[in-house]
Amino acid sequence: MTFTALSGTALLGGLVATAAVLYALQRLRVRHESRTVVTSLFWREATEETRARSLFERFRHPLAYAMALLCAGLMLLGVGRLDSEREEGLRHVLLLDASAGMARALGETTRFEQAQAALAAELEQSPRDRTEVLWCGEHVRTILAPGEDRALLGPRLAGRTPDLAPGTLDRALRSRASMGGGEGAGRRFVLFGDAPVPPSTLAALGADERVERAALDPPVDSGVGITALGVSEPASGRWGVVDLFIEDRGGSRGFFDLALTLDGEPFERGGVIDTDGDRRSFRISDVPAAGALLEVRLNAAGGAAGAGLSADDVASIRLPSRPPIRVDVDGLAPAFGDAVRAVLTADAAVELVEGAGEADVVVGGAAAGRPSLRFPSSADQEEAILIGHDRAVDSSAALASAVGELGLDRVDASALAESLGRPLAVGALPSDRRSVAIWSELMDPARTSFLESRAFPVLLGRSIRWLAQAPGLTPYRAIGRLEPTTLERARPPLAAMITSDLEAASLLDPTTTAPVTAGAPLAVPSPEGAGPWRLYTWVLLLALAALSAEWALFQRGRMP
Amino acid sequence: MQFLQPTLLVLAVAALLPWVGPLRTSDRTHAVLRSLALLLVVFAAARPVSRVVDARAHRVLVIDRTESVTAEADGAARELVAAAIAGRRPDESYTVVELGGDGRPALEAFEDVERRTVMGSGGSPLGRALEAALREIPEGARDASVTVLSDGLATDDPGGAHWARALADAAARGVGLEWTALDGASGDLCPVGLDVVGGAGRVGQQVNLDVTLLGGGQVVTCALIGPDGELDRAEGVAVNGRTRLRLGFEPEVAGFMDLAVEVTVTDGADPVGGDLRMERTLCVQDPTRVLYLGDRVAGGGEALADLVGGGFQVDVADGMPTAESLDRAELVVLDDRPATAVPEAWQEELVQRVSAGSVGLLAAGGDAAFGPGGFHDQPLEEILPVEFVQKEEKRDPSTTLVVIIDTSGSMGGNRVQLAKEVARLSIRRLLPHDKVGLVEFYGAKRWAVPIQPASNSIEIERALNRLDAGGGTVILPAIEEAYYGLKNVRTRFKHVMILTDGGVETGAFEPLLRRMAQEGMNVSTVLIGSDAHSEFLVGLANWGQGRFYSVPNRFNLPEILLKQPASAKLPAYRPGVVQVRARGGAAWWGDVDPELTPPLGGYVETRARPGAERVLETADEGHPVLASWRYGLGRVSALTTEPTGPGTEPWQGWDGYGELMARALARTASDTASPFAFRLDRDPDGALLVAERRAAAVGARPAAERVVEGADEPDRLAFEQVAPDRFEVRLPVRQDEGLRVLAGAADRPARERLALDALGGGVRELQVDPAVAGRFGAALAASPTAEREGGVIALKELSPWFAFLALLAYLLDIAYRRWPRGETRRSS
Repeated sequence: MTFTALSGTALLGGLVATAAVLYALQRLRVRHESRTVVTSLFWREATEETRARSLFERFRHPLAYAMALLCAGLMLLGVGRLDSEREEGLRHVLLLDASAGMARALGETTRFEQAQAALAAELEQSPRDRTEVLWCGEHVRTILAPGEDRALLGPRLAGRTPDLAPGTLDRALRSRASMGGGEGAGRRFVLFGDAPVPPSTLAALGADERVERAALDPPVDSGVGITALGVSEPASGRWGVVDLFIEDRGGSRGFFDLALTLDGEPFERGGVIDTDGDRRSFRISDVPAAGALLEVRLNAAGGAAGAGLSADDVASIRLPSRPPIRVDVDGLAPAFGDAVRAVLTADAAVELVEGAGEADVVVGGAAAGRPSLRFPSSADQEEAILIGHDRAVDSSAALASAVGELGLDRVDASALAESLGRPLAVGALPSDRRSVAIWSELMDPARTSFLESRAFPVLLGRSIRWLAQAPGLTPYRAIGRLEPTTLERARPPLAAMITSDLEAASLLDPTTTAPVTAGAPLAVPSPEGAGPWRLYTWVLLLALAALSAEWALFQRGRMP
Repeated sequence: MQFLQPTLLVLAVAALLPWVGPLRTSDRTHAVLRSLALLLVVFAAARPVSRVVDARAHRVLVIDRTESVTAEADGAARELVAAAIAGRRPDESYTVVELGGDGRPALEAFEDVERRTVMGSGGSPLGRALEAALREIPEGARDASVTVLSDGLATDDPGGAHWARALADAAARGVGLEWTALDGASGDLCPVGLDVVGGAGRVGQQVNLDVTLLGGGQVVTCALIGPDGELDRAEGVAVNGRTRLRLGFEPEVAGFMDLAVEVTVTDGADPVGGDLRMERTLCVQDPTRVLYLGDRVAGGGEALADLVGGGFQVDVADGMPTAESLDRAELVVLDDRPATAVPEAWQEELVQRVSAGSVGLLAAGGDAAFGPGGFHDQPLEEILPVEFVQKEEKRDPSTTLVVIIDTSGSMGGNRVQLAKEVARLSIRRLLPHDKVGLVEFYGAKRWAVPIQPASNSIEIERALNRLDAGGGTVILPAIEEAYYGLKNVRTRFKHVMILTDGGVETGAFEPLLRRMAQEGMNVSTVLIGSDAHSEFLVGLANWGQGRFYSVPNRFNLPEILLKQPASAKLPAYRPGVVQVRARGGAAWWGDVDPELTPPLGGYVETRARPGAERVLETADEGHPVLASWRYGLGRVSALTTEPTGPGTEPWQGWDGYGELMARALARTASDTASPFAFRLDRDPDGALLVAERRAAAVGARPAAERVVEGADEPDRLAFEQVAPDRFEVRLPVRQDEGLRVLAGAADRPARERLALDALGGGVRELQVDPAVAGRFGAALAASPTAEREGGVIALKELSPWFAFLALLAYLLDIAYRRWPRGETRRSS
């Protein structure tokens, strides 16, 4: 036991002082009685009995003193807030699922409100010094730290709604389990939500740790909502378009339709529809990739919202912007100029323009401030192919990625080297503007067969795209998910992930719409039964009883 | 103010005790005092609280006490923590999060300082400790900071999303971050990287692993250990700072292979020790699946399999190939199989698949391959990196023409002149390097002009002029004479032209002419005179695979086609000892010394197409022997000799032949045969398996299963489609847990192995991405953040005050009733 409001020393001092005060009061000669005697013969005797006329008399009535001291002592313990020891016994971690799926409406209430009510009830039965409450929304936060009163739960949760994010219940459980639980103390995790707990998480728990789940009724079924919205490179191979994939669940029941808009304008979807059980998927080909915001909305034919959860009735994605790359071809040597123009003309991604001022990429010459593809003489450049890359990138890394990105792996370097009679090297150096410089001798049909090779159009086309920094394609963007990697594009550097000002995603995790019911079965909570009252409440109730009893004794003359 | 236990307020009725009932008193003052005491006790028990905003500053200190931090740095860190806490302001609350710490001196206990421990399980999950630290900061804190004291080495994906999430959370909440750098184990020797070059290995093919060591001037031996013992080692490696070396071996069995590098110090001292082993799972993929289509070389498939080793699973096709047989193949080897045994529809299917990159093609062979195999104008011809030379040689082949002129009596008059005119015309078409001979027959035969260069036009013209008609018609001996004359001539084409008026003759013409045709001598016949047709001469032309012409008069002289005979597609196979020259780079030759390549025993003469890479060619004429190029997304190679036949017989004893062939097959095989490209990454909440569908695999769906040792049933993973060509599976995997997955297309048995190794445990700590440290402030004592609006909602307990007031009231009550007063009471 410990005192939470006063130190033990202060309390002891207070107790001594109180005892002293009571002692002093006990010795007060409290009454000047008028005593009537029958005869003066008894006067001496009466005088003997009421002899002391001083303020204090000798200490008498020790039991009465003890009673007064008990009353005062109990109240003093109330001042010091005597409470039970804080670190003993099972520790309780209550995890409140605050993911998007908990916003599901269930009649008059929501799943989240159900979970909150269950949490509050559980909290009533848990020892608050060993109980903490975690908010498992987009991030895991501590709502109620050990020792904080349950009364704080209401204010701290007031006005809060579930985050539009995937569930973090499992993450919080694993993270919390990895932290020490204290000397010899077991831990009990109680989940308030529907997210499943993988067996591997349970397996990672210690022998003295257990997981329970509060029973929320009724169990949640799959709802209706959009569960996937993604783009891929077009199967048609065309530039400037993408293919689109949309999946919904529950929509196959026939009461829902998908409405698409591009920057707010209706977009006729068409495409291929595939139905698999409760899922419907749509593949829409050759959607213009002009940087528009594509919004997909699930419309209920009958006007009803999407079965309890409205957040998954709409999803959007910013389509990539892939305008034609404007290329200015200027100053090319006659020997290979026609070949270069022919390849660029045949490339659907390229639009030939006049004048470097309008061009995204300049081919043949260098223009200030424009990425360029140049063909210098071998006398002016040591490397056969020299890449000027962004200064933020390491040259060796840029070179390594350029091998595949520019199609250099398709060039038959040994044959070209033999044709030219000198070794070929590829180099990279940091530059303010991207550039690719290729020996003009390599392009000379009189000296090499490079122009005739299949590698030439590949190198040219990819170089133009690289120079123009044609944006990569992001397959999808979902709330709470990292930006996806692709075959061509690894995850962006950490700094970019942190500072990225990516457009907010609106696509929810599929399990929000269709909760995964699999996972380890969990026990229903069996609380410790700590009860609502703390120790000092009992102390004060005892003080109240003692005070009443002491009053009764006093009134009956048993107390001086 | 509110009461946390308001139900207890009903006990306030006790305050009426002095006023009503048997215990009432007439002393109002006394009654008030007692009621007040009772009431205050009840109020205190009902727990009155007032809601306040906690404006305290919240400081969380994360102290990294894992293995890599030196003892001195750990001591310094503890002192820093103690000093920070000792110097705290009254409005600051402190929490210490300790990462690891096993075997370290215990942290000092501080009053009113919360302590948390993040267990590292032998690793250094610094990112997780940061997340835990952020959780310690109450929601709405106006002034909060997290200070990390660490050497910057962590095991939980130090460059990855784990950190990003924590840092983004801190930024969103306005939590200040500070970083105090501690010293790592300076000069400690340990392996910090074991990376498989290319990500995975394949049975029978060399796998290289880059080993990265950190050290301080030690000289070490580094051994690569497999399940069955040592696989490779590097000795005498000087490790100073970050040192990288490469080890390699050739796996023999497909599967997941547990590898480890063990470092032994041979010179120098290792300050820490005990951390000289690093483990890694190697995914050994199945051998490359080769579909072998042979014909002429018996047992060629088996011989090829023996030659190239275990890295290839050679399936020999029985009978005609089918489109389904291509489904499982990554490479098709067409070995000396004529076009007649390769259906055109199948060729078209193969071309399509090669173009899409789902299979590679190696065309090889001798007499029955390329042009000699009849692949002219076949679908495969276009995708081969070599051209068949016959097409080119038709332009200007060398020719020997023997003109047999009938000078018998029947040719009298204009006919012999007409024959002479036709002969002159034909001879004029010849070029100087061609040859010509003239045989006349007139009952006997005679070489009017022996075979000689056509450039001797004056002599030939004189001989023609001398011819005159007379005598009988006996053709056969003249043809025989021409035949024997042509046998000793070496020109590409040999042609015999018979000029006669068509007298019918019996004799063994057919056998003679057929033999001549077989030996490349064509016999054409020219009917001189007004008869428009002669069955006899037509028959001769047919047997001789030549043409029949009719010359009724001098105004209808025919165009004699000497150089475009029907039998132009002559074999291009060139037997004999042929010296070769290597041209390809190291990717084709590897460790094989190209200079030691033995001569060939024969090859098919071809010409490399522009853009094709010539790996090996004949030394004299530069004809390609091994050439390769990309066709569409795939690769096609041509080996212009039989891989296991007579052409490469001299190579059978050459050590490098097997490796060269294996490399040729490996480079030609499709590396995108699977309809999906898979990627397995760690994710903040576990692992993420991604399947990207390749363009050619429209409609295919991925399948995967988790490999769990000892499990009876495979743990199948359910992919979710997230984009038109992208599928994902999210797997709950702990950071300290490994993961092994088999993945492939749902309708194919092929399986790709992917693995994630556990973080922590045997995995070395890696430097946290510098971008992370850049996000932190620098010093422990620096003022972290500006205060924000709001604050932490807290409750202030008022019950102690009520209890205190109750105590005072009680003491006043006692004092009041015991204080001496002049009151008189009558004793009873």
